[in-house]
Amino acid sequence: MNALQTHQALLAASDRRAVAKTTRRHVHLSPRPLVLVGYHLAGDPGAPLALMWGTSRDQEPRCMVVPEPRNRGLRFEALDEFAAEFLTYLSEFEDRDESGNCLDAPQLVVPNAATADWLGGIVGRFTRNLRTDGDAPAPPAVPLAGKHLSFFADLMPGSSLVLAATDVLTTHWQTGQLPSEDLNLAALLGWIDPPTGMDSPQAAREGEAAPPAGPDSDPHWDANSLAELIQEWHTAADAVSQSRVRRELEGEIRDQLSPAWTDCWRALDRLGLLPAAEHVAIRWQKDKSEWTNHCDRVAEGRAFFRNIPTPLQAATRLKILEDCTENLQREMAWDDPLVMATAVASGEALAGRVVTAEPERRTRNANGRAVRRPLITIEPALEFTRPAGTTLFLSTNPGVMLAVLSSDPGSNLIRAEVLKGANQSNTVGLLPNSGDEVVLSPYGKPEFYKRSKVEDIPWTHQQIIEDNPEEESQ
Amino acid sequence: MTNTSDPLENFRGSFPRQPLNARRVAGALEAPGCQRRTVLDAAAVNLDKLGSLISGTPTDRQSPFALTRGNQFEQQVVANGMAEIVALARRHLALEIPEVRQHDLSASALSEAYPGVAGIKMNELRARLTRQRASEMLSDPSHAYNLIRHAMTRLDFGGEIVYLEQDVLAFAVDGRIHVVEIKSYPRIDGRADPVKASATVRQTAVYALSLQQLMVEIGARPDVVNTTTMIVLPENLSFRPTAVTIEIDMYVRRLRRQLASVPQATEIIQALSAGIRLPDHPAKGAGSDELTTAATAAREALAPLPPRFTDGCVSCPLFHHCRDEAEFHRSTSRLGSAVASACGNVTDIAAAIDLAEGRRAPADASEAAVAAALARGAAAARLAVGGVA
Repeated sequence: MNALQTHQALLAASDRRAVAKTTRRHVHLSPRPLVLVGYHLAGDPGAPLALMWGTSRDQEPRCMVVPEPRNRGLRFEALDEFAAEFLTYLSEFEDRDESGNCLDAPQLVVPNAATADWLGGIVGRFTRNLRTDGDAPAPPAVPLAGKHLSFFADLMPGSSLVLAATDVLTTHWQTGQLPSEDLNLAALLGWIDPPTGMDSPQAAREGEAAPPAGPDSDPHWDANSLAELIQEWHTAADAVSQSRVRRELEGEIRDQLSPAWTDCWRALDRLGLLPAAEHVAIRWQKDKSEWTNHCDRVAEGRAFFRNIPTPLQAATRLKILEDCTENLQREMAWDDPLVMATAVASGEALAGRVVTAEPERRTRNANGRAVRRPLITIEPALEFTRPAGTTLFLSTNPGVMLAVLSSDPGSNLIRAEVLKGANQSNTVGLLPNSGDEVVLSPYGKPEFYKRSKVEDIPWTHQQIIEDNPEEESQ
Repeated sequence: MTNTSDPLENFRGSFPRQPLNARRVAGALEAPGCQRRTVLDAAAVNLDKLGSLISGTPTDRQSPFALTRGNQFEQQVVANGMAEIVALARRHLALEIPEVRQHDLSASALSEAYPGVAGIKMNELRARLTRQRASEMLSDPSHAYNLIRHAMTRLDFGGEIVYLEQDVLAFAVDGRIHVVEIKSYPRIDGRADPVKASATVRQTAVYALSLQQLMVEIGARPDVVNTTTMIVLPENLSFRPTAVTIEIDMYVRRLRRQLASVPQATEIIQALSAGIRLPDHPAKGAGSDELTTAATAAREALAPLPPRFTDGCVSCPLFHHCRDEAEFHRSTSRLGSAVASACGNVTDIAAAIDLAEGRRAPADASEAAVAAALARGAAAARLAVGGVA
């Protein structure tokens, strides 16, 4: 753990209040998100028990319940109800500009990553290929909604198409509890946004006492309420008494899921108070084009998803994942001095004041030619011990690349010469002047002509031994 | 084996007992170095009941739906004379099982043949039979049972004997014993939940290790137990069983090392002042006064047992209690292992903050190092918020 993060955690615990890890908001917030919470039957993720959703905190959320989650017919009947409204919500984002790109993209907000994984990885995965003809057909909206959910399942770091509230909040705040306790949205919000007159650890305890945010329900509630209601539903003699049990169940479910639903909105409100970081809009642009692609694929009937990726797909995905992760980290650091500070604390980045700047400095390169290599001398604010030759980038202009030179013995000043980005007469103005406070970070602009596709299966993904050859051939 | 149960029995008193199983042994090892947990485990205290009593909220429940589903799956897998298991073992473990001779050593199966045997006697009987069957397997492979259900093996945990019930032991014609474990969480598109899968692996390692010890006891080589184990899971969302084989040798070796370093529970308890003892568990429907008194008594009994609070503690039934204690003592471990290890021997949150702010002079070289690191982190944050970037 980084010294800065450690200090923040200690501070959070001693102040009894979450500490901000960022000064900006690093996710996009949609003006019209779809907040979605739900439960599945314990031990059976394929049997949704209830979903609750809505696009406005002021309106009563919609609620779907399956009175007998193990009954396939009832399951699809209920999912159809959700699917219809889900598709209506998504259709609001199909308007396009003249170049064919969607004007905006939808945003799903769920309480935690487990809910996102369940909705995409299980509900989406097992409904997207359902047959709508033959015996016991599924309602057509269900597989279509499944395809959309599958799209939302497979997102990269930096995407804001799906926000898992706990993940987003822990990116922005540090609590004074165990990292695994942060997975509980109510407890996490207790740390970040305690009710007036209550200190955070106390508010977190109160949060813990609330019904779970899903997708797993409270086992005590299962045993004490749900089991009984399902039993009642089975014994209900006619449609009238069945619908009575159903209403009762819905009431119970609403009591269980409402806290999580409200907490999702609270999380969004809290995030909304932070100013958006600069790169958020750029990343959302990428999200919008992903959404446009997905819409095209759906419209053309090409929205297929592989259950098990081929080795090449897996390798490509891994590469993209690595690039996106790196990109996000870099962009967050550029946008946010407090994020950059973690790199300064770890010693990777250099923060300090420019003592002298020599924009006209020339040296001879290996070929003996004179080249312009401006030099800046920095008085570090914190000791900087990386060796000579370390390349760093100006945090305000990541295109400017500098190399640390060996410093004079006995002096704590760091000398860095410009390698590129500010050694032409038209770019040298990007260089800081003496007296400026600067940060030189390890985060440079990504290389321009980076190959984005993996062409050959790398050795890490070769030799996939199928342990069940019969199934493969089916 | 030494008979060490007395001080531990005294400690438990008449608090409900819960015999250890593989899951609990594996769970205990996830919280290494926790003397409190070691003593409670060695004394076979019912942790769920203790946790519920202290925290005042029941935590000892498993959803009836999850239980039903798990049982349904297991029944399906072992139905028809374990036909599914045999087929999976042939395919995944590449075992030649020309003829299946199976034997059920579960308590219910044995109670017919041995009426009147129950409790610890039954465990001993099952362990003895397991030992007998295993040695027959090795000495007379063509006639002995080669598929044993609910075998029972023994493991020494901190000086206490733990009885472990295994799902299935399969014996192959190549002279090696395999462990088969049945679980009910799904394997979706070839992947199972990594958290649950790793818990299963650790649990299976407990079985494999106890079997290895059994092999040594009957004079066979421990590597007769094949560490490539088979885990049977439902495929996708169906009840159709599928299997994965996992090489758990690494886990077994690690477990052996961990078990060897489990402090002897009796030593811990004898080092404490005599007479600490858990209260009796209040009867069902006891009044709140009685519950509070019992909870206080339980807290007092636990207080002298040093806990070790880490990230793995969340799954422990005593989590809430130990967390309150860590918070009360302002311990850095309250913030997780990463923070605690970054703070080294500075275990007090306030002291760590004081060191970082320079309000407190470091007492020794290691405190100085912690102070320097934290001060650097604090300074970096101040610089950033001060508008430098």
